[in-house]
Amino acid sequence: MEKVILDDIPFGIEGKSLAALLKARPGSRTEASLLAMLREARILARPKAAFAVCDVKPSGENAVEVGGVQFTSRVLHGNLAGSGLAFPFAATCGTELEAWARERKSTLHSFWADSIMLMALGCAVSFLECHLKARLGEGARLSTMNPGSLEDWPLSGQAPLFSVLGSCAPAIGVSLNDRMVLRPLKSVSGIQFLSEKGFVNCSLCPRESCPARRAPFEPGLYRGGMH
Amino acid sequence: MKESILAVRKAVDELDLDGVTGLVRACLDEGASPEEIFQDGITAGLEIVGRKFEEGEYFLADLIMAGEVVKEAMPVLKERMSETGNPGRGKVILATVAGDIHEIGKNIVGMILSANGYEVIDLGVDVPADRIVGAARSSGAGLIGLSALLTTMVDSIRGVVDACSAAGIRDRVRIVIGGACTSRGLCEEMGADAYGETAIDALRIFNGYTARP
Ligand code: B12
Repeated sequence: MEKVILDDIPFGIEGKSLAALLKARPGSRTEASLLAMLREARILARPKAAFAVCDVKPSGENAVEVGGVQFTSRVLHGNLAGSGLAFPFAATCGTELEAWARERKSTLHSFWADSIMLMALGCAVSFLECHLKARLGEGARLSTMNPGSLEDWPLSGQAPLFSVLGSCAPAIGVSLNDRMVLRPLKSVSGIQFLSEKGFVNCSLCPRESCPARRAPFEPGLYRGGMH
Repeated sequence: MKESILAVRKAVDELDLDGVTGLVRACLDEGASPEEIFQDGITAGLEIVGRKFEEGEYFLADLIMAGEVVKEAMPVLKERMSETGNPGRGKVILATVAGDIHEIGKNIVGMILSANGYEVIDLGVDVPADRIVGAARSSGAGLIGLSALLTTMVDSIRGVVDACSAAGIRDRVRIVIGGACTSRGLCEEMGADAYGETAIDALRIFNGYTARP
């Protein structure tokens, strides 16, 4: 099974937009100290991602085999069964930034560091998506599912995912603790897959006021889509 | 109301971290009392910030900045304030439950509580029940706020309730829960004391517990 590590991901955060987002007034001392932090972060930041290229085999009605590992989930089965290829992945802000952030003591500086880490994670996720799209060719439609997002594929789904990723996860500094929490904390895991329909978790999630919503909630989709 | 106090209120509302200390000094120079500046400048400014947050105009970055503005101004005021000027409201332990890492909501709750006079002991994320009990014991805090966003981790709330009972401190702590996957029903099911939908609810609930007769 092919495994790919992306550890040269650009950290393209622009000072002015960060300052605006974090409400540091233009020209103020506060803005200057935020920009100084961003300069430090730029030197250290190594956002990373890793993925495996896996064959998919249906395995009963409620499960699917990805890269030879069994995943139990009806939605995953429904989404992956027809797709042939899937890409289990992990993406992270990187251990370097997490260690740096731990040294920030004041509320304000910790908050800034948190925001910078989340942006670094964002860089890793977008880079991974662009990389996969470039690899699969123009017009490829990728969708994502994350363990823990739906009751149907709960957090315990991290275990088979990490077993597929194998040595890739430690290679980018990502680990899983016994409560299924990813470290660094600003990390995400999941499976990307080809899909004509463009599935997004959001279609099955009822949280109305989600800041990250990418599609409306469709309560009927679960039943309709699966049978 | 003095113009200079209104300027302090405006500095808090408009998140003017660099300007606030100078404005507070100007009020004192004009003869305003520290209590008056605290009440009509700082606290009134914070009320506006809280309202803008509830209305969706302000976000976490604004709350953090407002908290910093107040922190910046307080030492100047405290120097001149009488002992009883700004009595603390009590200690609150905050944590995101074991197995969960989502902390933005918890941090908002923390900001709002500390800006309103609570001493917040933030234990961070993925916090096991025994650490929460340990902190309640060592700090003497009687208020605990738990945040949970992962549906599969709600049992961690019961874990904290049970650990408090086992440690013999259940009757002296109030456990308030919140976060997107919690609800009033879940609160009852887990044996917690209250559920808050928003950070402003958190403040109302804790204020209810600490209200002086
Ligand atoms: C931001 C985010 C992240 C960030 C976390 C950043 C951080 N520092 O917290 C990152 C990208 C790291 C992340 C990762 C993951 N996430 Co996430 N994340 C979110 C997202 C998009 C927003 C959460 C948020 O901050 N909301 C804004 C805050 C302000 O809202 P809030 O927390 O609810 O707080 C308000 C109230 O609830 C209340 N409140 C909160 N706490 C308390 C406490 C008390 C006492 C009171 C009274 C009130 C109160 O006050 C707040 C303000 O009013 C949600 C989607 C969502 N709709 O919730 C998913 C979501 C929570 N994540 C989810 C998942 C599954 C994960 C991952 C496990 C995915 C994965 N497999 O990689 C990982 C885990 C990573 C790890 N390290 O293990 C799922 C959970 C599904 C479920 N139902 O259980 C969600 C719902 C997304 C989804 N639909 O799939 N995530």
